[in-house]
Amino acid sequence: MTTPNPLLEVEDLVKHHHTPAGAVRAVDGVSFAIGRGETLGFVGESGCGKSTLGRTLMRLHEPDAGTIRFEQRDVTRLGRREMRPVRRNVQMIFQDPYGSLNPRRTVRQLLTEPFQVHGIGDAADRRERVGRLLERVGLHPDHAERHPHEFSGGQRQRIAIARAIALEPRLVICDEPVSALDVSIQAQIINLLRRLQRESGMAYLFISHDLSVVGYVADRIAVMYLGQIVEIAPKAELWREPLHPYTRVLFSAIPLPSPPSQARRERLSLKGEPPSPIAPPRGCRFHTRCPHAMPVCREQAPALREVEGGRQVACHLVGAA
Amino acid sequence: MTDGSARVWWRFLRNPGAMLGALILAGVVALAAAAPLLYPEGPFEMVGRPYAPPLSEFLLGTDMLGRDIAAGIAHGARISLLVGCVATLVIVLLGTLIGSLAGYFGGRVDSVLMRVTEFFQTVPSFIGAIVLVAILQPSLASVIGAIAIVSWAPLARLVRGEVISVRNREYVQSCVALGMGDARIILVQILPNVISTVVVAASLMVATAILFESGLSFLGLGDPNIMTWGFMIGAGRAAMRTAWWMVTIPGIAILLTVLAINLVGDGLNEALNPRLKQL
Amino acid sequence: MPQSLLRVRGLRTEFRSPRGSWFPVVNGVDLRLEAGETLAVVGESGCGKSMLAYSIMRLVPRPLGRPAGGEVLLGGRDLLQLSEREMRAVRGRDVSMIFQEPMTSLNPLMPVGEQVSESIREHESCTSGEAARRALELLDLVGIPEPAKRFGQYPHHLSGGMRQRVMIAIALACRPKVLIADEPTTALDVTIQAQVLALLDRLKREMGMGIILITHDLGVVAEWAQRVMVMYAGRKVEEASAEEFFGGPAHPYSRALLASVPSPELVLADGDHELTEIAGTVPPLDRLPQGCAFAGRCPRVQDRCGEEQPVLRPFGSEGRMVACLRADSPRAGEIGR
Repeated sequence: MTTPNPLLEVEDLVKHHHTPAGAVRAVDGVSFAIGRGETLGFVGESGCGKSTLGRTLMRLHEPDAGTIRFEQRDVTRLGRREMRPVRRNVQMIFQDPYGSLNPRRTVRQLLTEPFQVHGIGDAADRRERVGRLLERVGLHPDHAERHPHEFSGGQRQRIAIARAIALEPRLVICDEPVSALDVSIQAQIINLLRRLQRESGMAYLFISHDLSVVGYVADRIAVMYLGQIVEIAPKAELWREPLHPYTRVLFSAIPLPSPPSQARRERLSLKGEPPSPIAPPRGCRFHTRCPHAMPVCREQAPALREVEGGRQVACHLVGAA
Repeated sequence: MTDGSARVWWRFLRNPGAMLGALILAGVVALAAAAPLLYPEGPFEMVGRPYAPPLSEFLLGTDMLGRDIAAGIAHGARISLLVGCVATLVIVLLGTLIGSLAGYFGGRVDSVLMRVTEFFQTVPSFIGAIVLVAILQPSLASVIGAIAIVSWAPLARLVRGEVISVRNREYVQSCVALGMGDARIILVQILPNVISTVVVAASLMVATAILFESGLSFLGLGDPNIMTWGFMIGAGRAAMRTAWWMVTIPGIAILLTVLAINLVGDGLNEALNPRLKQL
Repeated sequence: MPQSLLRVRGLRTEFRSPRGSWFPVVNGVDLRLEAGETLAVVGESGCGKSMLAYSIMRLVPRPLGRPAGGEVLLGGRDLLQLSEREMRAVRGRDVSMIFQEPMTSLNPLMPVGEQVSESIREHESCTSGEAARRALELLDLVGIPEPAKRFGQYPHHLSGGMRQRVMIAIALACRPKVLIADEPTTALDVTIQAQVLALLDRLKREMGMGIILITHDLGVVAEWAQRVMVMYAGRKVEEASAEEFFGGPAHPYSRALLASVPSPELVLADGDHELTEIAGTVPPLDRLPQGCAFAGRCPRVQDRCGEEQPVLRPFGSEGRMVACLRADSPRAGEIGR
């Protein structure tokens, strides 16, 4: 789908990690776009490259090839200094609320850092902003003098969110932001993220292995397999009818908390293990495990093609239908 | 790691070994501080008859030239502590700088710095120090410099390892994502989380530096104008059979000081990294 | 009633607080497990579900914790009364356990096949050839492809899913009557999770085992368990058949837990429908409030809840229990999600 005037546009992004065993093709030709105020979810199983994608977009990893355009500007090769104003508009929330906050800094110091780095406001002004930020994420301004270890996991994730939204970014990359939290706390954080989005109109790139969470939060969902997007579609369409064989397996594997007698779904199982991202299969990367693999799948990699209603699928089967 | 300093102190104070070490060390420091008052004439002054045994007219006896050994011990303490502290300071600065640059930037910077570090690590340190002092002419500055040059490499490696582990933590990544500058990330975000390791390593290095200095002085490579413990042992060793105290007393001074510093260092280690002790 | 496979009565385990006093982490829990049944124990971190498992296995970490009463009856014996030596014979032979992270529970320096045959020889006297043959069968049984090739490989050669299968093979080596699975699939991807849980289900039916499935994932419970037990702050607060539980949980905590998971209906209901939050966090176990431990977070709290400890009482149909002063007979409109 071509989003008109997109906020972020990614084209053929490639990022390989070099290891002694060979290059891990973590992100291998990924293209998509995010519109303003939109939430694009990324799902896939471990090793599919979704986390590397988030970090590469954030330029925490240097991309090997492809382009990243933010608000029409190519930011793929910007230097650190030129990148700084862009970073004001793109922020990130990490999975581990115990690892993403420096244990030696107080909450006030943690939340003042964004303003210091970008030279915003004076001391009094920053104080006031920190107080407002804490309130926005549901913490008490009195908490500012404490250290991260004095908070629970959920509260720490709120602090991390406050830090990420301090500069009012237009895009926040959320890398598994609720995966380390208990379910009741997950709900608090998800509601908070959605409320903040309604208030400020920022866009989210929401990475998670939990399809229910992504399904709930996202407007559109991209499914990744071995470093590539296999399907990208508005979430309702994807939930009603996944088109790519991998997406279908993935969705049938989600355990649903409904009475056992109801809705016994057909469970599709996947044969074998995911192939190594160091040497992905030739042709369609999913053909080794696909129940519908045809000879052409072994030879030729299917391109991500527009199907109908803003959906894109990379599968020979779907293209032919 | 995130404990308040109060808790760290509490753990330190409850450790009997560390407290004993701290007590001895405090005694050595007091002696060093009081040396000019106790023995204003200096350690080289011949104040009495030679070969006086301890507990005669002099508390710790005299050496073969009639110099008061107690004065030598007191003034020698000043030098030992000075060399130990200054050399360690230089080691910490050098080691932390090189270790954190290598660990933070990685890649080519890391390879170059680590090859240099390895070079210094392969030279046997005491022999290296002897050669350096011999080339530079013995003086207090050259002794300190030589000790620092042969000892910084292990600390640089240690710091590099710690910096690499902290660098990959998400809170450092989030600062990169914020657009924070490298210097600020290293100084404000990374080093405070490495400091406890450095403190522990440095405290033990003070002891090593004191031993090195004593060794160099013993071999006659110390500053000839300064009285040190090692020099006293070196001077007294010819008379060891007839006048045991000339060697033994400075020897005990070195032993006690080094032991005390090691006890304090271990105590700091346990207080700052309590997880090592648990379970 | 016929004799249950496993019966736990009034089980209590205590931990020592930093200030030196002892507080319960498992507080008077009763439990019944039948052959061929999967009982799910659910709750959030700190609710005591893992400690319940460790207590049954008598693996409570010392000196941090200590058993403090109750009975664990298996085959007419109280496991808590056995000597450490006798208990060692019970573990693996009568009751086995699998853990969340298979990497840390496998010996990294020993080929996986050998680890399986070791555990057979631990409990039964047989030749090493015989044990190796049975280990090979077990690897095949748990769905490891090319078991003969995998037999000689080390744990780091295997993927997470394969390692968990090896753990299951080890746990099942002596055909235990009871299998305790502590978050067996939490570290695994959904497709692998489905494979592993299907495997456990099949083995349970083939071998007539009872499974205690400890998990925080209500979806997993709905698909694989026959009965559900909800724990909060060390106590059992609700027990029901899976059908009844997911049809309408009775305890306010269970209800909130279920409502805080995004369901497919919520996914498809576009709009500003918020997830149900549970306010606050689990109270620290060494400083539990008086009365009901959930009172501080409960949407239906009354004055009485802060004073009186609710006891577990029968609720509705046979075998259903709930510990809540406010849980009255279910009314249709109120209980739906």
